[in-house]
Parts: sequence; structure tokens; C-alpha cells
Amino acid sequence: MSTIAKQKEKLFGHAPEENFLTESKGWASWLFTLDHKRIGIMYLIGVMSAFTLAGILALILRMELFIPGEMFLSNQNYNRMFTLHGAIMVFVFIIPSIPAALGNFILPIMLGAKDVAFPRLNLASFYLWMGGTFFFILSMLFNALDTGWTFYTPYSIQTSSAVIAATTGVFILGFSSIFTGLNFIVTVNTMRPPGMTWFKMPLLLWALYSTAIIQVLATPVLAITGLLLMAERILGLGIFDPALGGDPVLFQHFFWFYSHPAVYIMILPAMGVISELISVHSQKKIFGYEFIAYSSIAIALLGFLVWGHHMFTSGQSEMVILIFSALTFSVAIPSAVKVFNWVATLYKGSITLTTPMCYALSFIFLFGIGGLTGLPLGTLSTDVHLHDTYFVVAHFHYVMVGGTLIAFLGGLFHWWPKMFGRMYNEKGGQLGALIVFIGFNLTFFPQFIMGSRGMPRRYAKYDPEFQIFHQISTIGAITLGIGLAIAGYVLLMSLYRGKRAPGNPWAASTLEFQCSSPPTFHNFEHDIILNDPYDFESIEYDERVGGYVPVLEPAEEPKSVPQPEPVETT
Amino acid sequence: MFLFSQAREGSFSFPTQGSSFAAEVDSMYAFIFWISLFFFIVINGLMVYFVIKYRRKDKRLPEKSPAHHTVLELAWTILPAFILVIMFIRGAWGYLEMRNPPEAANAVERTIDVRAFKYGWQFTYPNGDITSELHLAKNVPVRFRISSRDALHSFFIREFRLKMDCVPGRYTEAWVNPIETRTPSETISVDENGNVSKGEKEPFHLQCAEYCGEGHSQMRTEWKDDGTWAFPVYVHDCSFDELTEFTTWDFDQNSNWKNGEFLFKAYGCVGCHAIEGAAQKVGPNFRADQWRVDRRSATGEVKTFANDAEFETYLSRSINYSTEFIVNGYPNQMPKFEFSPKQLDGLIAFIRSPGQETVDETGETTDPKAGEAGAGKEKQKIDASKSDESKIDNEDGDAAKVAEPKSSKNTEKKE
Repeated sequence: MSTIAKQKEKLFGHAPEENFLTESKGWASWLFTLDHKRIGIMYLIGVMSAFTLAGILALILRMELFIPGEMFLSNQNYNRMFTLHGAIMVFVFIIPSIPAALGNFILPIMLGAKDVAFPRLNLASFYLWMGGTFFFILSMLFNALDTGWTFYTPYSIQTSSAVIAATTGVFILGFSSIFTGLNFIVTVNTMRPPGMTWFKMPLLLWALYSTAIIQVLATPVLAITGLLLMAERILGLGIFDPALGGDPVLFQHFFWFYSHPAVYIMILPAMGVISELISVHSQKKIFGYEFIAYSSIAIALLGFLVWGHHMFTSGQSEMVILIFSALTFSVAIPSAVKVFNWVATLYKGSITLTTPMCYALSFIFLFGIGGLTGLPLGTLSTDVHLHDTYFVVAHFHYVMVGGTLIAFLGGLFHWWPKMFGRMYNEKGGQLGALIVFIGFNLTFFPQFIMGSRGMPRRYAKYDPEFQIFHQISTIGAITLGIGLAIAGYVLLMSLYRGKRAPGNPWAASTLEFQCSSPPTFHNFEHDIILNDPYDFESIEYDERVGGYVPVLEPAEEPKSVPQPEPVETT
Repeated sequence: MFLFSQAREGSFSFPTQGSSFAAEVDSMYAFIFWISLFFFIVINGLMVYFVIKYRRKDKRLPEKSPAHHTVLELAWTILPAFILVIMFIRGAWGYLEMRNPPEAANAVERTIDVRAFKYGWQFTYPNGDITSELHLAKNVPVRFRISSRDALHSFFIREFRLKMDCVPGRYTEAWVNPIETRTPSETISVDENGNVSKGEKEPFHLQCAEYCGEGHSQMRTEWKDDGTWAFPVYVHDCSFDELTEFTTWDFDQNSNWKNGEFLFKAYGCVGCHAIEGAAQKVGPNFRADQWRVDRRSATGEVKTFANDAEFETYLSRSINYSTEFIVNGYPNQMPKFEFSPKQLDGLIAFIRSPGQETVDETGETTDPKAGEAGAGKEKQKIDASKSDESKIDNEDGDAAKVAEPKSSKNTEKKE
């Protein structure tokens, strides 16, 4: 055996006997864990449950809309359903989905680190998420919320539904989001391994870093807004209530000052995931790394300046509206740059249509539609007509679901073998992705046409002229549900039947694929070998491990970085 | 998608162009649509082409190709920016056009007050007329002064491409110059037996576009089972002053019931309260069999009524001070009204027998002329139905009757 082979044997040869899933047992070992991987898995289970719940609400809504009149939901119940669907999806699922569930697991390992900078803060963040979700469930069970996820005043002051419980939930969830963001900022700033400069970071880290900046800067505004709304309801301060001399439009400014940047909290990590998937599954160095990295930062910063475009018909002055429209167009550019770069990455690649890649390609298609339909909404003359119609509903579902959810699923399939050490059934995964893609378009494309024909959103009953569009949409929603169920089934079955995953099944060059699958408690049992994150020539196939390993140069020792001694845990 | 743009009732993507600025909105949308379609096809075409062409065959590692190209990247950053600037400028130009009322619309006598409330609309014309239907004149620009009584609403007429939020505590404004007619006779057809049905066209659609609560989706133009349109937008081929023919309602000295029916519609009670056996809306239905029935509040308090007068007192309090006693099972959502005693008389007479007109109990109809006038009115109604004119219900019939003096009053006012 040559020295190189020995070296490899030592580094990657055999899977360790214990991994983070098995190293300690019992409920307490999970509930009090400080391990970022376990917290990530708990987040994953949590957000997927929330997604399932809000998804079922969406299906109920779509069923009700199959006919123009009342089928089985009264107006009041319809309003509650769409409110809870939106609020749970946004606050409990999408915002924590990629950063808190996938990011928590991946980010430290991508940095070659043992954990995030503040493991206790990380666990606190998870329990805040649980707490916030608890209040949401409360507001759902007792006099369910009916204000829409936007809590617009003065309706949210007048309604008898559970506004206080829900805003408490939002307030707590906000802190969960801030904790995660803060943790990621410090981790990326201080824990990069020697040699990993800013421009040698994987693009997912740029995206998560940009997201974290928004989370830390924007979320406090939401917290204040929630508190003011509670104060308004309990004490009757008269800030937002016109009956007491307040200004209801002020609430909209406060709310969107957070919630527009929040849109980028949702989409930026998705863009980061897509940058990884496209590059790895076409074995091609990402095209225009710097442009993609800078565009993440540009989106994060410009995202703070465009909140007024949600209020073009609210009676703001014309000058303000013109400025917001102009700024809105400026956000379109960095998003477009990313899409162009992803497509250019495919050029002369070596493309395999693995399940994650199928999701990544459908992301480009769906996010393309979502982004381009943002143009008539940013354009003033057309927005006046399209505002608050199904066109907007379709637009943001194309971005939030077609963008974030699809990227989340792609990322989940990409890192699933890393998380649980099992390969899923590739054919089943691809089938799920295809049905999700078809179902999604069937659900939301007709809504563009309905919207431009003038169907307002949040209508429990509607004009019979729109029935055909609603029916196609409902059939699409059921298809989408089936596709998601298949995807979930494929993943869960892999845990029982999947074959063991090698450390690096995708020939990826980022650091998380250098540790074993699933990683051990300490992540790396050996020194990491730092290469460019998109240099696929530094990876080669090794038959003995059934996966890919870094190429070790014959004459020299691995360019390794010493790891701190693992801390003994008791 | 724009293949059907010549269709009479709107294109595939858009409803009929009913206002002077609708064409610009649609054309702007088409402009963005074609540019977007171009980019969409280029991006996805290349993506599909690359995926097919560069599918992994034998080797894992692809041939070398550049990982960045500064000129190309700058090009696709800067060139789209130019297109976006064009979009912004044209959109802003079209928007300012929509926002700034022309001189003619800005005058006091061309301003219509739009009042939104849970869950209905009320329009007040310059001469003081109040309706729940919006009547406009073709090619006459008008300005809307928009407000709300309670929550946020949004004044959205899709054929006009017009939308403006109704914000409680402040006024917002909008204007429109309707360029197509929609008269009642186009939208309601009556066959020889007097049966009414939907006409060949629909009135322009007024819809509330800002979520406002339980009855949000009822604040819209809608064909109802009783053969009328709720909250229709009509455009007549006449001068603005001649609109009084459709908007005027003077109190009928002879029938409290008719006055009540008018108020029931004009003040939007119809938005929440259905009549008799119709599907229930937000509030309780008006039903003759509910007269003097005991009422139980949400707190368990029970009201019983010894005689009609007690019940009538209860009704009048419930109308003007609705929050005093909320019947169990119904939300506390009714706005506060300030009806005069005379108006309350009318409403109570209407509520007593909402299905059909009753003989007036006040017994004031001693003047034989009045009886004649009433009979004439009936005749007029039937005539109107037969000739398929715009006067469908007795409301319009009466409007025609009193139109003359009212419009002369208007001309006086103008002078």
C-alpha cells in the first residue's frame, strides 16, 4: 500500500462506529443538546410539521373555492383558514426553513467547524421557535385569528379573534430568528478555517450571511410593531386606530418595513442552496462567483428600501410612490444576475439529473416566472389594477413556493444522505419532483389570469366567471399535495431501506462532504483538506468507500489544517 | 395570451376597457409581458438545451470552460437595467395620468363621495342624492372622494383599472372618465311574462380589494336571486346632470315601506341583511316571521316584547345604536347610523314585512290623487318591464316621477 493510499485509508476509509444520531440516547440527550446538528434536525421536524399543517389548510381553502358559493366553509371560517395558512407558512415555516433547519446543520460543517459560535443561543433559538409556535397554535384553537397574516389595522383592533396570542407568537418567533441570525454572523466572521477567505466561502454561506444581516436588522421592527398593536388593543393608545386619532397606514409602513426584507430572508438562502446544487450536480465551477456573492449582499441591502411598494394604492403621496417604484426595479437586477449565472454554469458542464438537480432546474423555471411577474407589479400603472388581486397571490407563491420551498426540497434531498447516512430512491425522488412541478404550475398559473381579469384576493365567494380558473387551481393543489407526499415518502423510506451513504455521494468539494455520513458528534475525525469549494478536480472516486474523496497529491502531505482537540463530553 | 384582445367583453387577460386610461394599462402590461416572455424563453431555452447537450455521458469531469467572463457579466447586469428604466418611466407616466384628475373632474360639482363600510358602498352625488349603485355619465370625468366608516376597504372597479384604498380617518381620491356605457337595460333583461334575468352584459364590477372582515367578498357587484344587481356600476349616455334621473329618490309621502326599501338599499343594509329566505349574510335576515320574537343577547340577556311599540323601539335602537344589544350568534360589526325619525319609520315598516309592500298603516293616504299616483306608478312599472327600459323596479319608476323638479333644482344650484 502506497503512502497516499494509507493516508486515504486513515482519513476516509471506514465509517466511524458512532455518529451524532447514535452517540447518546434518550429524550434528554436531544432536548438539552447543544449540538448544532441535532438542533438542526429538531428544527427540520418542527418546520416540516408546520408546513404539513399549513399545507392541509391550503388544501381545505382550495376545496372550498371549487365552487363560487359556499361549500363547507362559512365566510368567517374561510377567513380564519387563509389567515392561519399564511401566518403559519410565513412565520413558522418559510422564515426558519432553510436558515434554521438546513443552515444549522450545514453551516458549521461547511466552515470545517465543530459547532456554531454560540451553541446555547442556538438551542435557545429553537425553544423560542417552539414557544412562538405554541402561541400560534393557541391562537388557532381559541377564536382563530382572522386578520390575514398582515394584521392590518384597524381591522386587527376591531376583530374579536385571537390577535394578542398571534402577535405574541410573532414576537417570540422574531427573537428566534434574531438569535439564529446573530449566531450565523458571528460564526461566519470568526470561525472560518485558516485559508478560507471571504471569497473562498461556498455561496450558501454568503447567502446565509446576507440573510442573517436582514434577520438581525429588520426583525426588531416587527417586534416593536407587534408590541404596539398589542398596546393598541389592550390600552387603546390611539397610534393606529383612526377612531382615537391614530393612523392605520402607519401600521402598514411598520409592518412592511420588516416584512419586505423578510421576503429576502425567505428567498436569499434559497438562492444560496441553488448555487450549490447547480454547481455540484453539473460538476462545474460556479460561473461568476463574485457577482453572485455581491448580488446577495446587494439584495439584502436594497431589500430595506422598497417596503412602500406594498402600499401603492394606500393613498401615499405620488412622490413617495415614484421613489419606491424606482427602488423596486433596482432589486430586479441582482436577482436577474444570479439566474444568468446559474444558466451559464450549466454550459459545458457534466450534468446529471439527480433529484436535487431536478429541483434546482425547476427553481430556475419557477423563480423566473415569479421574478418576471414582479415587473408589472413594480410598474405603477399596471400595479394599480393588479394590486390585491390573485395576480399578486400567484406572483408571491411562485417566489415563495416555486422559489423557497423548491430550493428547500432540493437542499433537503442534497444533504439528506449527509444528515441520516442513507441514500434515497433516486427514481422515486425524481418522480416526486416532477409531480410537484406539474402540480405547482397547475395550481398557480391560472391565478395570474384570474388576477389580471380582476379577481380580488381573500374572497370567500367569487364571481362565477372565475370558476374554471379556480377549479384548475384546486386540481393543481391536489396534484401538488400528492407530489409532496411522494417526496416525503421517498425520504422517510430511505431511513429504513436506503443503502448506506458514503461521505461524499455527489462529488461535492465543499467541506461538509469530507466528514462521514452522518457526521460524528465532533463533525471531523481528521484534519480537513481545504480546497476551492467549486474545484471538482480536487475530488476523485474511491471504490473502497463507494464515494468521492479529495485527491491527495502524491509527493506532499495533505494541505491540512490542525483541528482543536475534541472536547470530551460526559 | 393576447390573441383574444379583440373580444368584445375584454381580452383573455383583461376585462373590458371601460375608462380612458385602461388602454394604456393594458398596453403597458403587454409591453412587459412580451419582454418578460423573451427573457423567459432565452433563459429556459438555454437551460433545457444545456441540460440535454451536456448530460453526463462517460466522464465525470467536464471539459474546461471559463468560470467567469467580466464583459459578459457586466453586459447582463447593465443591459437589463436600461429596459427596467424604460419600464419605470412609462409606468410612472401612466400612473401620474391616472392620479391627477383633469380640470373638469376636479370641480366640486363633479365630485362623488364614496363611502365604504362593513359591508357595502354608499355614493353621495353633488346634489345630495344617495345611492348604493354608482351611476356615471359616459365621457364625463368625475372625481371620487373616498372614505371609510370603519375598517380599510379598497375601491376597485376592474373595467376602469381603478383602485384606491378607503382609509378610515382620512380621504383618498381617484378619478375616472368612463368611455363605455353600461345601462340597467343592458344588464337586466325582462321577458314578456315579467321574469327578470341577467342581461347580455354585466354592469362594471365594483369590488372591495382590501380584506375587511367577514363580509369582504360580499362588497362587490353581484347578480342576486331577487333579480337585481348588488352595487352595480352603471355608465349612462347622458350628461352628468341628467344622472339625477337615476339617482334621485324623494321621500314617498304615501308609503313608509317604499322609503324603507330605498334606505335599505341606499345605505347598504342589503350588504349584510338578506330578505326572507335568501342565503344568510353577516347579519340576521329580515323576516316577517321574526316580528316581536324574543331576542337573546350573547351575554344571556333576554328581551321580550309586550306589544308592537316595544319591538319598534327595540328596532330603532338596534339601527342607530347597534352595539347596545348584540343578538347571540352575530358579530358586533354593524356601523353606527344616524337616521332621522322619519327614516326610521320607513325602515321599521320595511322590516315588518320585507318580502312585499304592505298597506300603509299610517293611514295618511286620504287624498284620492295620491291613490291615483300610486296606481299610475304600478302601471308605469309594468310598462317599463315590457318595453325593457331601464326602469325595472319601483325605485327607478319613482325616480322618473320626481326627476323633473329635482333636476330643475340642480340647475338653480349651478347658477
